[in-house]
Amino acid sequence: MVEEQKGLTNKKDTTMYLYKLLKIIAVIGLLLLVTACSQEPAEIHYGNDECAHCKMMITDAQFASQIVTDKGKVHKFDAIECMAIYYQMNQDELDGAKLYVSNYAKPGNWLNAKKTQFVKSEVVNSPMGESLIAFPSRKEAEKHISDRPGKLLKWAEVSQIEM
Amino acid sequence: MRLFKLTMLLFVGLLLSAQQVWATQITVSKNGDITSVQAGIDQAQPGDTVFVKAGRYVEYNIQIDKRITLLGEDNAIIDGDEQGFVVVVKADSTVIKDIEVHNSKAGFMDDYAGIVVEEANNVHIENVKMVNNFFGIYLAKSEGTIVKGNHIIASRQRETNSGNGIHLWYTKDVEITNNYVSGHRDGLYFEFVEGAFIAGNESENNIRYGIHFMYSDNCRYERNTFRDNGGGVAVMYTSNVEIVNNHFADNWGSSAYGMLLKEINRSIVTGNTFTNNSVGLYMEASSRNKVKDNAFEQNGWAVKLMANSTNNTFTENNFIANSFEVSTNSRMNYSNNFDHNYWSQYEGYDLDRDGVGDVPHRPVRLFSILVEKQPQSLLLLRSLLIDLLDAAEKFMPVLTPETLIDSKPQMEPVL
Repeated sequence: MVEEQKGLTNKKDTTMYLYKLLKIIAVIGLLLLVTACSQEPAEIHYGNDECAHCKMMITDAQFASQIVTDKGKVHKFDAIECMAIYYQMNQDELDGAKLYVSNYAKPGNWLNAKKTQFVKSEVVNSPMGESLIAFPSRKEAEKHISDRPGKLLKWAEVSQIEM
Repeated sequence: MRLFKLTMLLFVGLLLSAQQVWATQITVSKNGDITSVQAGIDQAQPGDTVFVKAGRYVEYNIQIDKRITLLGEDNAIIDGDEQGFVVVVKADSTVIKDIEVHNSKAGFMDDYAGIVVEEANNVHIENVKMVNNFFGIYLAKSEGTIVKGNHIIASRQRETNSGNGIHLWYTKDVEITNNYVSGHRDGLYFEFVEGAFIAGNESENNIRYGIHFMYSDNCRYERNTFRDNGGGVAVMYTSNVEIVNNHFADNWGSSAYGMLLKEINRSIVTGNTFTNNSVGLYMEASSRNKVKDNAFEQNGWAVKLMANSTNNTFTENNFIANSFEVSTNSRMNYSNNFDHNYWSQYEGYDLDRDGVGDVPHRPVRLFSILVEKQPQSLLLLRSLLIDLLDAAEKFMPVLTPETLIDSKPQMEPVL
């Protein structure tokens, strides 16, 4: 008898527990749904994805960039210069899009292109030969060019680039 | 007096030329007088030979700043111990032969290389075995260099941060022949190169491209094999390239091409084989090229020709057993000519027995246009519905480019 009761309470416990779990899962699921449409940078599969502008395979995290449109569509690029050119050519479709570039010193960390300090380096070779690299702050960029010559640029100048 | 001057001049001249003849050999060995390669080079006079006996010499940033010949016997290994560049060549007419170069540093910011040739001309690198270098052979601002018969391998983990096997940047009139490259980012890389002759190389299992060509006019590459590279081969922004008798094989993947041509003009693609690639030949924004006598076999797409390509001639090629023969992204086709090819998907007949099909062949299937717009629809590749659609489209073209036809399809393979 006692044992049966125990069994019952156990059963109750597990159902309660399941309910809780379900609730948690539902909440997480909802969160995922909500964030799915956000404009977070997407993961780039290096050695597999190709650049939306020059069709080259993206292999180098130091120069990779991406545009995430307001609908959440992602355009990936192998170099900052490719993204800039693509943005010039398709500006009308990219209203409200977010532009991300990779932190040269910490590849894989995405920076908002419009607030980033760019450097046109004289020594670093980027995939498409424009030698553009990005840093999170002016200080870091200056530190970089103190031992590797280059010119500081802002997005306004980078976005006007011609190749 | 004048006679005396003349004889003196002659005498000095003789002395100088004699010095050339009496070039000495300096031997570097593990247990001899000279135990380091750098010390051997430092002791050499211009024109001397530095001969390295078998053994592993752990040294890096070796500077060759005068014209010498660096030779090694079997198993003579210079090991950079991942500390920096291994051999740096700064002198014209340097020769490096029959030696092994291992383990340059892997650079996150710098282009470290096994052998770097910078601003030196007529350098000769032959029969060198290179193992696990970040960049293998790196030529920058060099003319008249010969890179021949080298074996360049890297077995690093497939990290994205890896250099190129043979890397040329701003170089002129070079010969790159009979090398083997694998395990690098791009097997062969050319940027701003003028007049290169690239023949008999084998480039396989590289992370990105077997050969990667940008802004390099007037080059010729022939009899090379590019196999199983991550993205195949890419040739971009170049005029007047001759691409002859190469093999492009086994390049599979969502962004892999036997060969990708982008903004290529006035070039020749002849006698090549494209076998087992996701896309055999991809052409974008390319004009006035001649594609002749090639074999396209067992590719997903034999040819993808983007609408911004004009005035290209495809003639006397074999298209055999490809899932899609030609695909494009628009109804427009600007004077690209596709006559006189053999198409294994041709279903027409030849009543007058002249070897030419009596009905034009349309290599662009309606389905390929669907797939361009909706890649997922590939699922339906073998379905009856799709076959019906294609058949209907063949009778009455509505969506496929009307002018993209072979009006003289061959009944028998042409090669």
